[in-house]
Amino acid sequence: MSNLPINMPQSLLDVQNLHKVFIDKDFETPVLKGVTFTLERGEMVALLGPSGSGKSTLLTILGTLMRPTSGSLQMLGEDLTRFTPDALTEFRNRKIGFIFQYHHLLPDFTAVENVMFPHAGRVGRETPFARERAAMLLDRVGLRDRMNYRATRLSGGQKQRVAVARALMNEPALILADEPTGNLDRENADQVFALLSEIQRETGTTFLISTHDREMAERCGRRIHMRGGVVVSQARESKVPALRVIDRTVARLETTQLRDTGR
Amino acid sequence: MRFELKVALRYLLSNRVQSALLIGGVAIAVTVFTFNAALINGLAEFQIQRVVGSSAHVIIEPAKPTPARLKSADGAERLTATQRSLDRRAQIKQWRTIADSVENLPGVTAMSLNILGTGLVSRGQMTMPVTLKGVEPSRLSAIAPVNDSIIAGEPRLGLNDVLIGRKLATDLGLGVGQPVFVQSDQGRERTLTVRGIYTTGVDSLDARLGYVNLETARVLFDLPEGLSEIELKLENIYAARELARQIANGTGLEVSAWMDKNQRLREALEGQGSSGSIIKMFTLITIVVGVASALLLTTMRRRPEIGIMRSFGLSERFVLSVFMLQGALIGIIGSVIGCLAGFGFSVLVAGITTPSGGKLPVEPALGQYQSALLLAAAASIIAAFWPARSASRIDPVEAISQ
Repeated sequence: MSNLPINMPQSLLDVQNLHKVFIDKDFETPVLKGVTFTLERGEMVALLGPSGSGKSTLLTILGTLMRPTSGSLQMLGEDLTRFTPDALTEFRNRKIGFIFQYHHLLPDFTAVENVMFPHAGRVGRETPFARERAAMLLDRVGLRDRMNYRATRLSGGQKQRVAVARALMNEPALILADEPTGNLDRENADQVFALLSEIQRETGTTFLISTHDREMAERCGRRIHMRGGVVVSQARESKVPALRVIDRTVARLETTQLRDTGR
Repeated sequence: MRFELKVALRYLLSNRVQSALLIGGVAIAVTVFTFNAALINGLAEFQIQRVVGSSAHVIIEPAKPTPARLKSADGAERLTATQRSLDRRAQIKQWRTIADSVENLPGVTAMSLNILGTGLVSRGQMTMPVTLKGVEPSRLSAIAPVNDSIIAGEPRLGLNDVLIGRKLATDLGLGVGQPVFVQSDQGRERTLTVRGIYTTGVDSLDARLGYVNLETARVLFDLPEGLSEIELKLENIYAARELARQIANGTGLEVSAWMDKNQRLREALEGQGSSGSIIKMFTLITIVVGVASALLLTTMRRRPEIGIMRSFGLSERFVLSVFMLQGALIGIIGSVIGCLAGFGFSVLVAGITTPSGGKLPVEPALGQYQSALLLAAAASIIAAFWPARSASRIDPVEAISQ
């Protein structure tokens, strides 16, 4: 962090009192009820919480795909709630990467084309730079020999690794992952998570990973727990091994409790 | 290659059967469009050539004398009756000067100097009214192909010769070399010899029109100096109106073009043109409906992919361009194939010989291929706009969760 420009804010993302209310005719459903937290640069944070706790809505808002009803959302020092739709689209392309539970690769394109897509779509052509970077990223996720395979010819784990490479294409500051291993078997899930961890360490990219996977959450530097549309705890990994064990136990208890209460 | 174009092409190729059907649909519509144009325009050309092939393209006639109008001192015009002067014979007196200059005008291919008059021809107790056309023997076939129409005798016009139509010859029982008594509307009489019998294929003409030597006509119609009319043939028949205007301005005479003299032909051509336009319009509507509905289905099927594209920050304009380009590609490829098919079909039909030995009036060169290409491509792009716009406005959150 010490090499950051002086006027660059320390935190990457600053969320203050974020609300989201869905309105269907006369029926109002509040989903986020005052979410507040920050993400520091280079953090790997797990977002935990039972189904319906507002995780996906939060990720969607952080990913600038949806606007909050109220509250403040600042990223890289910019107030995203004031952006025009076109400016948000451009910002999303350059600064945010998405990894979904289902890989969502474009089936008519090869692995390398899928990875290049976010860049080529913005600049209007496939540049040699983009091809080179896409090849490098596919190499990084262990798929150099599958570069020119159509997405439909790849296995589930391979597809998700291509999706990881695609999320990294434009060197985003933040990667939002919504259950990135939720659709994979244990072995593939471990491989993909290990890959995310390595990339996070190598690139210093900030990751916010929504997950139900306790083991995976425990391997993240911090865990944000959500319940009923609010953040209920933000446990940080302790540097002291004994405290780390307590942290993990608390987290496990919280997760179990959340699951049991069905929230 | 633009990336949007690559994506559009990939989408077209990924569903080859649907794309082939779509392109085939546009191609069939364009084939109908171009063949219809080749047929309607070929028919029009055939009719025009039949008319203008044996008649003048520009006719110069004497100016109609218009009496001067009297105005009162205050400038107001009083109610007056206007009547054409009937005192003088209508004739072109300065025809030599005019003929010299118009014959050398660019685009004029032939000229005929004529004296026209009516009269009666008699044989025995039979008398028939005729129009006699006095022409220079050397220019007998300058306007109508009289030489080629002769079925008996020869196309020669001595001072005492007359060429008559087949119907008149039959009605009066005349044959080549036989004498016929002619009385003009000026009261002059002369006995002429039937030198040749022609047929135009039109009975009313064959019964009423006779050709005589210009000098004979001068005597018969008592016109020692002037001419009744000067007829011109042009290289480009569609330049007739413009040339007529120029000559009229330069000479002050009454000059008309073939299209102004053939009101019925013009109406028939306009009628044909309108029905052709309706068919063309329907082919374009077919293209719009076909392309729009197919692309709408495509965008529905690709909703999640569109959502993904939007999620990684590709603009609405990018999505719009991809689907508009698909429409444009379908339109362009379909219309090129359609033009080729339309041309091929027109050539095929134009080569068919009818049971009567003639050819169908299809003119492959008049298929309006450029218009078909432009209109079909434009129709496809317009048709693609609505599905493309709705695709670009898809809510990525909803689409991804589908």
